[in-house]
Formats: sequence, structure tokens, C-alpha cells
Amino acid sequence: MARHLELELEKIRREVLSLAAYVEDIVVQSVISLETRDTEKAVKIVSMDQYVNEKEVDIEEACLKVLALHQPVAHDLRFLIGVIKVNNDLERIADLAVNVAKRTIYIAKEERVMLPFDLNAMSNEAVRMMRNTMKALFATDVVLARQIIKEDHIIDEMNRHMYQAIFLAIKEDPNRVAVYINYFSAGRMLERIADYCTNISEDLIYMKEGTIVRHNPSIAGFNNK
Amino acid sequence: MTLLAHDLKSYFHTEIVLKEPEQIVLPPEHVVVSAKDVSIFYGKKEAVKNISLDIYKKKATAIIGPSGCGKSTLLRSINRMNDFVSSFKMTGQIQYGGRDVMKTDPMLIRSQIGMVFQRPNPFPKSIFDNITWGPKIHGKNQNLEELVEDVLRKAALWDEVKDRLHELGTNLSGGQQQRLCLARALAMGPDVILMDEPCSALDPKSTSRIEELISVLKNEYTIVIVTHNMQQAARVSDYTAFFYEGEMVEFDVTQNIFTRPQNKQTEDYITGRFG
Repeated sequence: MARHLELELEKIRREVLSLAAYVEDIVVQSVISLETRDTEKAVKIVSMDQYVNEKEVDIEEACLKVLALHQPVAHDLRFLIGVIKVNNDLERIADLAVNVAKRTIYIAKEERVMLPFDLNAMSNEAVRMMRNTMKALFATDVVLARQIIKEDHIIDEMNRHMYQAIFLAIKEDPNRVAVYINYFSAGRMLERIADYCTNISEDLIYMKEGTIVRHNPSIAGFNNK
Repeated sequence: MTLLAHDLKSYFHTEIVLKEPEQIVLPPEHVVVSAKDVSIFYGKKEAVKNISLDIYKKKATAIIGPSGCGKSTLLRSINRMNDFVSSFKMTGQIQYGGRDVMKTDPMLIRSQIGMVFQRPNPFPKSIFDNITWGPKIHGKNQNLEELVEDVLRKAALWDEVKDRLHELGTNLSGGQQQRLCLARALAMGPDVILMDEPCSALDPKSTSRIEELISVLKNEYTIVIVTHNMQQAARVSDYTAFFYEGEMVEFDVTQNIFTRPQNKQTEDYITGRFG
């Protein structure tokens, strides 16, 4: 019984890590398409979403099957609950990356504007968060997971600055409001991707330690989230 | 401020309210049965090794563990059922309501601490007599009809047997017999009900009835249940103790035992890695 359960859980683990790697690639490619105004790449990214949606459903069904048939407890239960949540977060990250690609398709049609914020820095930060999250997920590294949660404020700060900068830019040049809003939207998606990375990190800590650290920095092991 | 600016600004002004994690802390006066440094021997074999365990009032406590781990031995020592085993010897102390059970009249102890066994064991008498037998022995001869109806209702058996109270209890189905045994225990007006694998001889439907009953009865009684069925322990109990080779490895709120046990042996056992 236990051996059979272990095999099922290992299969799910491989599936979710495979999905995670795929989603990481979508995020990286979407950021490149935005920075380089690459419409062709952006269109390809939009088409990649279907695979993610199908895999998300497959993984969830596999988890439900194990829950129903094996009634797991303790770390097996935490693993499955964690996978269900991480799986959902990965699907949402892919949606956000696809949304960045859709913004790219619009932006690429328009004349270039002087951006009032550092889009590259924001993109790099989102990708860095995503890559670290994948590293933590692959190695079940709760130290790195805690570091990721701690560093979420960096992109939050960039997002706040972006809002102020875009707001002023629109006031100064109302004719370009649509382009600015598309950039704002893309930036906002990048910030949301980083938020989902912290969610995955929190779920990883729960899976490994059984502690729910969400909304509670003192339990997470730090106080300056 | 424009509508757009207002919408954008709202992104950054979300208040977060942090909640403190819930904790169940019971004051000591809620302890009904308390085992203190209890070791139990059958001859030279030490079946229970230096166990200290508190049983809380009006809560269901499950004792789980592989065969031969001492869980039934401890359970049977609470109401002195092991007195009948000649090689039995106990050190340490089990207290009920602050009194040492070994220094208290066993008849009194057993009237306050009822027991339901693995296999239903009704007397070869009528349903009515099965229930009234104990109270009559203790001199309670008043209002027996009311008592029978009351305890059969509590055991969720009244509707099924009310028209045949004077038929043999042994003619009932296995699940009904077990509920009759529970009603028989309740007839003595106990504080505590000990259950030694009460569903192991029952089909899933009858098991479900007993589990529902435990959930209801713990509002009025303190329940200690020994079970091999870990899902059952998880479903019906408030606290769980894990025994292994005569020792109590872990005792905690049931939710903690089944979601984040502190001990590796507990984790390995409940996840089916051994046992």
C-alpha cells in the first residue's frame, strides 16, 4: 500500500516539476518578447498556454485520485495539498506571462515611447524570483523559499515607483495613454508573477515543515517581509 | 483625481490583517483519567512501559499503534478489566477523578467507566434485560422502561427495536448488537466509555453508525477508543496517542498527529511506512 502510494506521489512530483520548468520558460520568453518588442515570440507564448491548462487539470486529477484512494496523512497529505496549490499558482503565472505577451503584441504595433521606469530591472527581478522559486521547488529548499518571501518587497517597490512614474507620464503626454497603460499592465503582471513565487515558497515551507507561514512573518522566521 | 488614477492607486492600498494561530489549551481540571508512570507486566513481559497520559473530559481520545504495542492493555487497566489476568502486574498509578483505581472498589470503577469490546457480546437474554441487568445488580429497580428507552435512543437503536424489546439481543445484526452493548454500558450512567476496537467486526455501514454515535456521545461522555483504523481515529477523536512497543511515542491534538506529527516513528506509522 505504502509503496504504491510512494510511486503515485513520485509520479505527481515529476509532473509538477516538469510543469514548473515549462512555466519558467514561458515567463523568461515573455519578458524577452516585451523587452525586444518581438511579436512573433509573443504570439508563440500565447499558444503555449493551452498545454499549461491541460497539465494543470491532469495534475489536479492525479492528486484527487490519490486523496480519494489512499487517504494520505502527515507529509504525504501536506505534499498533495501543496502540489494542488502550487499547480494552481503555476497556471496563474503562465496566464500572467501570456498576458505580458499580449501587451507586447499591442506595444510592438505602436511607436516607441521613452519609458519613465526601468522595465529591464523589473523584468530581471521577476525572472530572478521565478528562477529561485524553481530552484527551491526542485530541491525542496526551505531556506531559499524563506529568502524569496523576504525579497518580494524589491519588486513591490519597483511596482510602486512604476505607478508614480506612469501616472506622471500620462499627465504629461495624454495622447500616449494607451501605450503607457499597456506598459503599466505588463509591469503589474511581472509584480504579480513575483507574488505567486512567494505563494509557492510559502506552500513549499508548509509541505516541508507543516507550518502555515502565509500572512504571518513572525512564524515564517523573519519580521521584515 | 481621475477615475483611472483612483483605480491604479487602489492597487497599492490594501490593508492586511494578521490572525494569531489557534491553540487548544485545556486547564488541568478537565482531566478525568490520568495515567502516571504506568508500567504493566504480564509475567516478565513488560507490555506497557512507563506511560503517563491524561484523558480529557468530554473529549474522544484515540490510542493507535501496531498489534502488541500495549494500547488495549492500558485501556483495560483503566477500569480494572486486567484484574482477571493472573500474571497481570501494574506499577505507577491510574487515577479516575483523582482516585487511584487500584484502591477503589472495582464494581464502582466499572459502573463509572463502561466498556465496549471488539466483538459484540450481548447476554443471551432479551434486549430489555441486557440493558437493565447492570442497574438491577446495583439496586436500581425504578423507572427501568424509561431508562431502556433513554439509552436505546442514545445508542441510536430505539427506532429499530422498540417493538421487540423482549426478543433475544443475540438475534440482532452485528451492528445492532454492538449498539446494544453500548446502550448496556450507558445504562450504568458512566462518565467514561472505553472502546476496544469497537468496529473491527462490523461492516462499513455499521461502522459509520458507531462513529456517528461517538461524535454525539462525546458531548456527554468522555471516550477512549483503541483502534487499528487510523482514518477512524482521525475522524472521531479529539486527541490521539501513538503507542509503539509498549511506549507512548507521541500524544497530541488529533489534527496535529495526522497533519504534522513531531515524531518520525509516528509519521512512518500513520503514513503506512511500517506497522
